[in-house]
Amino acid sequence: MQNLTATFLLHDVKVPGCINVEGFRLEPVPENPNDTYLRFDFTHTPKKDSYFESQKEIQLFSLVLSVLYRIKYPEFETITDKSGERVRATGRSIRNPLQFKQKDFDKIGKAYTKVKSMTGEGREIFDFVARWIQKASGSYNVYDKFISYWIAFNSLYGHMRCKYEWQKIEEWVNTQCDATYASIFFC
Amino acid sequence: MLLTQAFFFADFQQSKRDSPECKAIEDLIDADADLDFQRTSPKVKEAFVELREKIKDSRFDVGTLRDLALCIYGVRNSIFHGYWSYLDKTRGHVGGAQFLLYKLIRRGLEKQCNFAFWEP
Repeated sequence: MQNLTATFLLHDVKVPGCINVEGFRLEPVPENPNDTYLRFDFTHTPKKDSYFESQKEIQLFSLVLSVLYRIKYPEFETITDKSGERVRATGRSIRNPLQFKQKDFDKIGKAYTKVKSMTGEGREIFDFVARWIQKASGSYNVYDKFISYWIAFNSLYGHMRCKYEWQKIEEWVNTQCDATYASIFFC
Repeated sequence: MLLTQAFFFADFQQSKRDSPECKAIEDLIDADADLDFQRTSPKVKEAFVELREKIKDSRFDVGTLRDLALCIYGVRNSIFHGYWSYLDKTRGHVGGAQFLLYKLIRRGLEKQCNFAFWEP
């Protein structure tokens, strides 16, 4: 069996060194310490459909990171075996990189465990949104990205009981958002 | 990260045009000139006008968010119905809209799935 590792790139996220969180490994990009590799080794995943299950776990973990820290969804870099070459991170303009500390790793681990243990509609929404957001992040075409995000968004407002779509969107904002929420939206 | 992403309104009021949030909103508002309103819902047209007014007057509330969501819906209509193509100048507007839409989704997840407990 090949030793398979999926690698993602977290832009503008700094970690003090290599850290394992809930089966994921975060490590600084050697060429650019302001970026971080997010790796998941799914060689020893016990389930038969390990690739599919692992992909779901990656989607979920990435979404948890993104929601918790309001960072860009991790970009997929490569799947490689241990002997394979890594894809080099390309240079990007750096703003103020987010620096993860131990308490952040605890928080991420706790949140991820919580999401994984969710059941029912909440979990369904999470899995669906996570899948379409990953699709968006894997697309380099801005129109395709937008459409993937829209499908994810549709799952959030779609259950509102109104006739027209614009009414559902309005209703969703009205029921989901209060004044505090509206103010933090732009934070 | 917190510094770069926080205080959007303050940024906007201080005209820090390099903020991605500011750029995205400006893109979206500029987009209304490119939308064919004959083909767009009157409510969406109204939302573009109201968003412009609210941002001009620095009135940011739930209504601003609702108008923003409807403006993104206007962009969605333009793409889905083929009025905006892959090759024309609308590319920039779509970039701004997808950036804001992602923020809306993230916030929606926090709220809808009761994620407030994550916050310290």
